[in-house]
Amino acid sequence: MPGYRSTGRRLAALAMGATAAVALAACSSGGGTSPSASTGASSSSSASASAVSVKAVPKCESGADETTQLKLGAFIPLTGGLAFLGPAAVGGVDLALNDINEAGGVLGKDACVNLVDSSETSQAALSVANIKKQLQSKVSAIVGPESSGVTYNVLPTVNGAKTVLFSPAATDDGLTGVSPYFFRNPAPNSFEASALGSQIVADGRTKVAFLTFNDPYGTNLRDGMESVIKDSGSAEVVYGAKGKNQEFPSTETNFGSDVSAALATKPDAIVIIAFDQTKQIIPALVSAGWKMGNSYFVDGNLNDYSADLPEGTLTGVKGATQGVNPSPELRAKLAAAYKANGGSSEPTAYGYGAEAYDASTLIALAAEKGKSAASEDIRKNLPAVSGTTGGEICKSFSACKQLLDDGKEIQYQGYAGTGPFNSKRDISSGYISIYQYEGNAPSKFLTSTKESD
Amino acid sequence: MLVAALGVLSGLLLPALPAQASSSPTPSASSSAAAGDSSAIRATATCAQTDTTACVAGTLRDADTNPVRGATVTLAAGGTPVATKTSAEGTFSFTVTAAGRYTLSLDESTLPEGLTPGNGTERTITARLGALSPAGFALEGAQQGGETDPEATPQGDTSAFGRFWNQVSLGLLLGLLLALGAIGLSLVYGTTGLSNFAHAEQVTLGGFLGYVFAVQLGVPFVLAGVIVIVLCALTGTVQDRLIWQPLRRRGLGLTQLMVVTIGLQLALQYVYQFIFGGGVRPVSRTIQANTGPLNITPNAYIAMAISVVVLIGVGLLLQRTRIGRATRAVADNRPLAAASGIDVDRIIRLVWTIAAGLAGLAGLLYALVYGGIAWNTGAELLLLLFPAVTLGGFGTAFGALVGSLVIGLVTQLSSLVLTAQLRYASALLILIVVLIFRPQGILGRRSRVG
Amino acid sequence: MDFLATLFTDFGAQILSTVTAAFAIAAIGLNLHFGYTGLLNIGQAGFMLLGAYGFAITIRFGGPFWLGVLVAIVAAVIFALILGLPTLKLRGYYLAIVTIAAAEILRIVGGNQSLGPVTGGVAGIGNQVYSPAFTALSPFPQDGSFSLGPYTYPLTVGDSWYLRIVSWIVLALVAVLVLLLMRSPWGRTIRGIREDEDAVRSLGKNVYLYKMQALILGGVIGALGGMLFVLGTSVQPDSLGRSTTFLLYTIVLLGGAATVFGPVLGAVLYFMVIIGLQDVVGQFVPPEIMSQQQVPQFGYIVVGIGLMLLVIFRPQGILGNKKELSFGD
Repeated sequence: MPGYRSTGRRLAALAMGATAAVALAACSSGGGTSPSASTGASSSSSASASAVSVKAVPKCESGADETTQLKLGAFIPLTGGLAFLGPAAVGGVDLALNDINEAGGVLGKDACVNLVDSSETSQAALSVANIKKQLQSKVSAIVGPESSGVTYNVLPTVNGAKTVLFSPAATDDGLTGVSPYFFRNPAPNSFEASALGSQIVADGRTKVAFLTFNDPYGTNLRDGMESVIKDSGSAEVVYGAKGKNQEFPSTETNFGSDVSAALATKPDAIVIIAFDQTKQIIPALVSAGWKMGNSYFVDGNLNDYSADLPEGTLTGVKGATQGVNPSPELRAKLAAAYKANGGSSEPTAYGYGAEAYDASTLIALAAEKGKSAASEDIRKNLPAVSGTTGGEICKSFSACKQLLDDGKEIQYQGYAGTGPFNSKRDISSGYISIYQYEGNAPSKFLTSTKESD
Repeated sequence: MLVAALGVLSGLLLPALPAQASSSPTPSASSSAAAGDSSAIRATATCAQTDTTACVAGTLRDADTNPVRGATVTLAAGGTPVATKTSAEGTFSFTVTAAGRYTLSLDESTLPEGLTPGNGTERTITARLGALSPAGFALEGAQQGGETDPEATPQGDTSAFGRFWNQVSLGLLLGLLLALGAIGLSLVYGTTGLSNFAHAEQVTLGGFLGYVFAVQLGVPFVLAGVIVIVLCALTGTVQDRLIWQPLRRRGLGLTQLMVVTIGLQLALQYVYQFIFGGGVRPVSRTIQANTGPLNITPNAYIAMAISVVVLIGVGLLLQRTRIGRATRAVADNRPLAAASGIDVDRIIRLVWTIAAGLAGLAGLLYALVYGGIAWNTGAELLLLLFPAVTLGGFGTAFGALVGSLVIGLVTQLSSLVLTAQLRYASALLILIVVLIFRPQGILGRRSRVG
Repeated sequence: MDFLATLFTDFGAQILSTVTAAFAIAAIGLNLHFGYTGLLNIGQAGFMLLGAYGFAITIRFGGPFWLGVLVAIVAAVIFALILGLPTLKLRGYYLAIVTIAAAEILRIVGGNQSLGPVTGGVAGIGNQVYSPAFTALSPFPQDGSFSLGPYTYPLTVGDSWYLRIVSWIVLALVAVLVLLLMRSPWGRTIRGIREDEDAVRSLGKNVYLYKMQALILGGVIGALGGMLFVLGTSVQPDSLGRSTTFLLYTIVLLGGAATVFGPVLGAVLYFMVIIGLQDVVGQFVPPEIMSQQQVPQFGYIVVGIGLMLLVIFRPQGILGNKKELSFGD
């Protein structure tokens, strides 16, 4: 571009210029964070959150010995497409460690946390770089990640380091038994699919449409529900069935086409299997004349939509979630723990918070049982504290530790209501709860079923 | 007494038969049945399975999905069958204390007139302790006097032409919204030669500012819209003043500038995450019903109208006004335009302002019509904006409109023949094919290719 | 002091990492396109994905290791031909649009559910499916690990010393190949094309052919990088998308375009910076100012702005020569 070189070079202005757009964006929405804090969470939880006292969990010193002190790694999405799930999981880990430390810590020492960003599948290099950093600082075990894709990407690294990776959320069927160091405690997709599929059939639905996002989580759940529906003999899948390729891309931003295609098949029930995209799918369905009461949600979108939708939009919608949907008390505690440990706002979604809590507690109990916080010992003792040895049921770290100190076998049953691990380190049984929306919140508990493999 | 005895007997016998077939025999099953429950099967108003009971339940509905009341349903497992009538909501449920196979049958004679079973009257149900085992009968025909709820299933035209027309309308809507974003991208390229990868982040900005003003601060939507457009346009002005003009003066190459926009794109995406988090934010909490010939929401019609008016306005501005002619002169030959007394920097500043303002408007309308905005909405749209601009012919306003409409229609219509997952791939494929045969785009001029 | 020790230990782990080597290799390929020949390829991640698919799918269906490597290379050659044939005669911009579009098509089609039995759909192909074919060739014992200072890794399995050594050997070979090529008449010609295409053409050279050769060679190197990358992670279409291409550009520009060792230095520095930033910000900025969730986000904002400033103020990168400015118009 000759002719534009002549003018002076104002370097300072340039440097400012580079950051200007950023600064502008940041300023123009000043205060954006604080109002958003109150959006997803109900106002009641924010009120009670202040009443819950949760102390900050100490950060791990890199020099500390990970075999005598529980150094818990938290590998949780802080950026990217699943970042909205991050706060609840961070809160779950921090809350568990808070409760553990209040009960005297693990092996007589306060447990500490080492949090890094698991990012998302499209940032594979960063996921791996971050977990290497975490492993380099010698953690006893790691809670995370939430995405099955990220799990696949970091498994070779974790295997190499022989460190326990305990995912509170990765549900892809292909991860079953994939590594001796990989544990997980979300109820497998098949449990939820069985429970929700049964509910759909029992509700007398005969033509079911699936709006599924193209992700292992989505397609696993859909496949499971589809088989329950087909086996019933009274119902069929009219849209979005397996092999029809009618799933939408997980990065989709407009749903008019999917919704009209689904409605063209004249369904009497629609199952929405998605994450935050649900906020965009609901208006498209309602606009097209669909009665939302005939819809079903899954754990990934069983959220409170009061801040996003007109009053009463979702009344009647049913949805399933693993264990119990976090109660208001647990929500308040998760939010308090997240804030006490440097979280900026309240979580907007609470999915997998309970699982993260249980995962952390199980790891701590395994360390107590093996009298060592070394990863190899935790790995060996995790099945036992989850109940594979048929121990006494206990529901908190302090109660379980008491039993362990008395030399008894235990079965920890936490917030997520899961049973012991099976031989492939998936949980062998778990409870799935069905909730119904009143207004825009899934507040009415309908039933819970026990599913096992 | 006899019934109870039989019940206990069946409870004892039952597990022996089905335990083999059932995938997970539970040790507690037989013991609990034998523990003295009066009956293995009980008809219950609602079902609440516990660890020691299982539930068999269902709902009878007619073809209009209205509940069928008073029909007799019977559950049996070798022993005495237990019958119940469906409730006013059409529901029936049994609680059983033993896992295994049961036979559920529907008494056809008790169905209301006009209803026939669609798929047999008997089901084999496998009950699992602690779980719900669903049972259903598809019924054909509608009940006499049953209220037909016209809204129960939407009435949309499901004929082949109806589906086609529906996709056309969705394509036009998407195309017109894309055009608002594409035209700025095209104008900036036309006047400065810059492929701005951060342009779609300006679209996202419009959506988020809409959320801040219309939802968080509660400003009336139209007023919020005006504020958003003005603020977004200002970001264009300021951006050109602080970044792009100094860089032009430094003589940065176009490739270099393009990489700068990639950096800006990355930074802005994480700024949005930093401020707004990872979720979807709405710009309006109201939901409207689809209406009219295109079967879209009133807001969508308004958005389309705004888009058409604005695009015509920009087209006229470029064709008819002095500033427009100067812009085209800069686009055609910048040194010549400068030599003939046109203030090139001022024109480019104006183009940036308009481009950012229109992008903001596009983001606001996109979030309004499609139910919200997220940090990566723009990044995903960029993959449609670039093809739209390239297809239409880079640097022409009208071309951006045509290209956007093509992309909008292709992505939506391709769902009729291709799988939904491939709709964006189809748009990109069309782009590659067009570029191979007509590199200048549909409306572009040959000279730009060289 | 403890903080600094941690920081430098972290840096070392990143430098040794296979991911760093794999990205350096892919970046060398991109540098051949963009730095030396002036080809604006914004779809380098597509070459990586193709290499990963070619390799993993061949082994998934029972092929031997070396056939997998061959398939990966052939796939990259064909992809380069498809991209180059229609566009290399046109202005650079068209190659840019076509490469990014083609890479995205590859990613979308690869994630398609109906291709599940082949590509694994969005879930991709797990490392355990194809890595045994690689570890079987290891000269080290299958079990056991080895410590070098603070770094302990297994000898053969998973994220091992074996994989690290192979990655760095491949990287060294590729770097030497590019070094020799650039000193050859061929290298001088493609650099000439970048500077002044018409001048080279007037010397009677077939510019189109040279560009095509550069596109193919850089693409094949990208495929090798993709293969090594998935040996340390897993094959997932979404992991090798646009973000990866942009990351490769950052790496090339940071180290220095049109230099042999620029991409290597760039890759090492990039991962050090992204890890170091989080450490430093996490250590010194109190959570009241920046929440723990915002720390990594802030890191990426800094990377974005850093890329802008780098291109503006030091377009030749760290190792580059200002006279051999890599940006042709």
